[in-house]
Amino acid sequence: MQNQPEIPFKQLLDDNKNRVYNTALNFVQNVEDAEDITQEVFIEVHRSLERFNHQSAVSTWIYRITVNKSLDFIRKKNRQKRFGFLTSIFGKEEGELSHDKGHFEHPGVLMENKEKAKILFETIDTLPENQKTAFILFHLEELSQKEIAEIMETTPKAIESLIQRAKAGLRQKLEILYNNRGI
Amino acid sequence: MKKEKWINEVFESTKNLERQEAPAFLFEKVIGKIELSKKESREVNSSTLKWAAGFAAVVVLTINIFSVKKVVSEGKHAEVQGMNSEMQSGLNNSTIYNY
Repeated sequence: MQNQPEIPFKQLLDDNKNRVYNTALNFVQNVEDAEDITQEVFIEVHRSLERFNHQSAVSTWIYRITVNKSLDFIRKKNRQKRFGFLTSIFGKEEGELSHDKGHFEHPGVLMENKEKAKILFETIDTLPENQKTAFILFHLEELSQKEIAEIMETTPKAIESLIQRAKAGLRQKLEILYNNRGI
Repeated sequence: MKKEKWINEVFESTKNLERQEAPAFLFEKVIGKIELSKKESREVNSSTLKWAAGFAAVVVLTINIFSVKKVVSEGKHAEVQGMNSEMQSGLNNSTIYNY
């Protein structure tokens, strides 16, 4: 394990960039934000490469960083939204919120599915982080439960449970939404 | 049934999600940011050193000022005390002389 040949950073980036970008896109559904996250992921990879101990596959390690950076990004956006809400209550000179709410812009979604996909992603966003992660990696990234367990450093059984809870939670929220919208 | 159908359609809406190509020049952008971060880190270190040196100088100067003040004040006190005891002894003597 310790005598693994060093992989050049550029090769690592080229081999994994699409995977990282698409995962980030599935978390934030915005091209600009996904690009920022992708850059942050590879900056972290570059910073941590020497310390990487090869206890997991490189792709697993990079996926893990991608998930963490995506969740960090979402948390930061939510903090900015809360702050923006407070400043809007207490008034700002310009009368504008201080945060910038990214709009739904997932280029991978087919045109005819855009409206329902937007609803699904917005509902996924309301899930607890671990359920959200497991659902995205399983349904959108199409990883196996074993692979997801390695990324999330837990067991396949735990991932199965997370996915089931995520689906049940989503279904419940969609039902409420359906009833409220009077569709 | 309509509700179930709608919910299933929402779940299925991300089926056949098209994989996207990562943005162009990603490597160059990442390396650029890494270099910028290194440069900023060097500048912060240099600036921090200057502030630390300035702060240390202020602390040393302040201690010196207080020390000098204390020495001067102790010196004056000792002088006054000396004068006091001289006066006392003078008074005592004069008292003797008065006798």
